[in-house]
Amino acid sequence: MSEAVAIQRPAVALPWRFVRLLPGIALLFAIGYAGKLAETLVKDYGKAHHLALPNIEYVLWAILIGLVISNTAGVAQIFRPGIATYDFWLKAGIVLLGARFLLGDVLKLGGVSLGLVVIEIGVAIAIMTVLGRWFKLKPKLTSLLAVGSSICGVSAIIAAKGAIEADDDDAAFAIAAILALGAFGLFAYPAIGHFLHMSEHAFGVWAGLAVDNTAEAAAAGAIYSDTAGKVAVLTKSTRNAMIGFVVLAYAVYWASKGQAKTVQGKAAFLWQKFPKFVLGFLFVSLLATFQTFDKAQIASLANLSRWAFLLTFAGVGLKTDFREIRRQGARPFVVGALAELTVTAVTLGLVLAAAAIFNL
Amino acid sequence: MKKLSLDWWAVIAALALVVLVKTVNLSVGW
Repeated sequence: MSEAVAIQRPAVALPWRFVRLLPGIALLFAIGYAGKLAETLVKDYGKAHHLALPNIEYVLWAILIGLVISNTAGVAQIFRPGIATYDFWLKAGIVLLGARFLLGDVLKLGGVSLGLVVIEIGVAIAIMTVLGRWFKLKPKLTSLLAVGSSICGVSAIIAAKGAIEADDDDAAFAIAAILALGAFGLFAYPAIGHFLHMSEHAFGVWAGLAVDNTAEAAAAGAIYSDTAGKVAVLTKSTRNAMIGFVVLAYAVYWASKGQAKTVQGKAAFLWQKFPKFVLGFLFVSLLATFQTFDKAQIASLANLSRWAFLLTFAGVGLKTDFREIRRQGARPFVVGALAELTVTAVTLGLVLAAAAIFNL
Repeated sequence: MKKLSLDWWAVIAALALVVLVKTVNLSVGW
């Protein structure tokens, strides 16, 4: 059966597969660019009329426009394949961002982040598991929410879904909940950061630790400042690199209960789950460390990374569907929200302590 | 041939852009 499909595919399918992405990518670009224009327009209007308007970054505009479209008119089928590429733009953007980091900074910040990440993962899993039991959620949904909240939202949930053989419904809900909670965080975290007068580095580390979806972590950081966005991506990538270990632990746990396949070849499993874009990021950072690029070239690579993120942020809004949450009911969402709140508070404490010790 | 994952495609696309910026001085504004 699969061979017949494979034989039919190549001649027609490949160009068509690219063509069907175009409407969605064009929509991502249009929304992202509208966000960029909105930021400039508000700024110019404030200047011209001597008004102290809040500086709303293009990131937030793009996400808001996307949110409004997806939760009101909805997204037409023709745009969906292209919108799904937002994850591709995110990863390409992260690799390009490597040009703005020297490897020494990556190791220093990555080292501090790694210590905090390990604590954050332990805390998030423990809280989610306890809350899941209290609220009597389905055990596999609790596992998905725990993986999503401890590591990296959507990709972690998808990775875990296959490994622990969870239902599609549970995974769709866990993804919707993580995205919706992250969207709320985009408004709350920068406000808290400003209230506590956090440094750009400290805020970036916090956003990278506390916001679950990589695109939203990058967005939360970028809303605070450019540097905070950069640091948030680095911290979040460190967290993402741990995905294999956590998913493997859950896979082994569910296999021991006879409810998932036993994992054969644990090293291969870890490599399969390892986010390869982290390697790309480190490679470009290595090139930058050896001064492969001049100033203008670094600026161009940084701008390419911004354009890629612009498409990503538009996609985040378009992919967040609050209606999915209504479908599963409020209880799992409340569990997710309670866990997120605790993780937010714990990571904030960790980051403030680390900022004092390591002078972030 | 084994299918490449999205991660690898993102790395390849980004590295292709890096090569363009480095070799033909592709200039990108914001």
